[in-house]
Amino acid sequence: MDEMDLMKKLSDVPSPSPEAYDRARAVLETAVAEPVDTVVRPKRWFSWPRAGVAAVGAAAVAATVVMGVTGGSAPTGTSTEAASPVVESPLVKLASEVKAAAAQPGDSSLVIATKTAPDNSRHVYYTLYTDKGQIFTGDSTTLASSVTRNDDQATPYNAKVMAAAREAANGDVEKARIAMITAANNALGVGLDPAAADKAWADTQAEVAETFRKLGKEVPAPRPRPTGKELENRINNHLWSNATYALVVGAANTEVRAGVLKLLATIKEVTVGETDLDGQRVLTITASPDILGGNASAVLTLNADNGLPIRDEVFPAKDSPQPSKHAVVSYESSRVSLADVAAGKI
Amino acid sequence: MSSDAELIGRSLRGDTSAFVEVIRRHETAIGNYLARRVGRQAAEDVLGDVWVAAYESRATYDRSYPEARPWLYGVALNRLRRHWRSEPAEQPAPDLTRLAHDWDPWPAVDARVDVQAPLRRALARLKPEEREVLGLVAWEDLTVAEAGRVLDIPAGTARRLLHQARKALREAPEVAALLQVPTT
Repeated sequence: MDEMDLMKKLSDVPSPSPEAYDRARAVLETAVAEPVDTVVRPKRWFSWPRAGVAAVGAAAVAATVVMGVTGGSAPTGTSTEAASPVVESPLVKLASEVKAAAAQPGDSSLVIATKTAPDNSRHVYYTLYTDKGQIFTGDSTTLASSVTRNDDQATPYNAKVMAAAREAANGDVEKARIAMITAANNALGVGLDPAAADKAWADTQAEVAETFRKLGKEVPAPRPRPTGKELENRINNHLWSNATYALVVGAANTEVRAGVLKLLATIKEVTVGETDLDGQRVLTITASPDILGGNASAVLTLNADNGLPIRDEVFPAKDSPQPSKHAVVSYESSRVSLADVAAGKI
Repeated sequence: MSSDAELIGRSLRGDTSAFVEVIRRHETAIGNYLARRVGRQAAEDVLGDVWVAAYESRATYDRSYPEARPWLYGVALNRLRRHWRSEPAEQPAPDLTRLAHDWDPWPAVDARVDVQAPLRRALARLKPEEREVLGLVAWEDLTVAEAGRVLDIPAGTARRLLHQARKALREAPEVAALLQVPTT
């Protein structure tokens, strides 16, 4: 007998019960079963995992809808409800400057996101978005192998949000706006005629009910269609969520960045300020709790000269019974060469 | 039968059942791992968190490794660290960054595992990373290289840590007595 044999004598402990394994799997199945958007798309940086873990029940589904990750909600009834003109905004001006700037070298956008979790642990996440539309992810040690293995993580959702951003930069902003709002799905019925919008709403309600049935959970009562301001807030929630997602995936792509700026400028509940941060001129883009589900506001800080994201910060909403936790993500963006990344030179 | 890596790949392409299958394969091993470290009740509390954390980070799984069990141990260990850190403290920690780096679950483990007291005392004197490698190899039947994967350290480093841990245990008087070998 040696010390390893002694160690093994300490290994016998009461295991979790079979029911505990069932419960844990049910939690996972709930997370997996959330509509396709959450499956194929990296989670929002401000959506901490625990919020998803607790997502068993109608309230949780409603919350994720508002956060714009499930997208299932109310139809507009008319396309005009989604329409919002581009107002003169510092963001539009900046978008024009970004678009007019000299072409940057390289063939890919690299965004390095650093998130400090509530427990102060740091998480660094690299996202490489190529001009061809591929997406590679990892960290400083795994990104190169992701590229060499051609482990492209781009999904149809990614393609849609990036196409919508490019459309906003180069073409019809209103068309791009609808495309960005509906990138995950169009349960809201944006841009559809009333009959088609009704069907989109009903189909989504049926999907939600079916998901709960599959999980053996009580099916939540159908939710009434939001109308008026609530509907507008949900539409803008989708626009904010999808557009800012596009930005943090492909910030160093000029078209994507310019398009996102123009789209954010169409949201009335977004305010733009200008200040200094560590000696550089920055724009602060603030989204009110109205379009973030009521529990948080968000401040996206951009370099005022080139529009590159610097920081995304979430603040708890004062009046919310369940305010979100404060969260910060910092970004560094640059143009790089895919070949250099593959060669481990980044 | 599909490898874990293949199932994770299918999961990333939208097959919602594939990842659950991966979890079914390894849930007992991971559940026991958690129970050995935090006790049965706490293990049951965090198990669902571990699965969701693994699911959310599956895009980072290196699919050149067919079996996901070592990776799941790593996810579980990270969730355990958060679990401990999130437990209410009587006094606010003055420096959370330092606390995170100095975090060490093993005294809690020692208190819960009420057998072989001499061995527990000797284990308590090991460095945290030595104990973790030792536990992964002795209790979870991982190879040293796999333990390195769990802890995100090179296999050579894991090997050195295991060697140090075993040597320290052998040379501990109370363990030497158990083994009935001289301590010199």
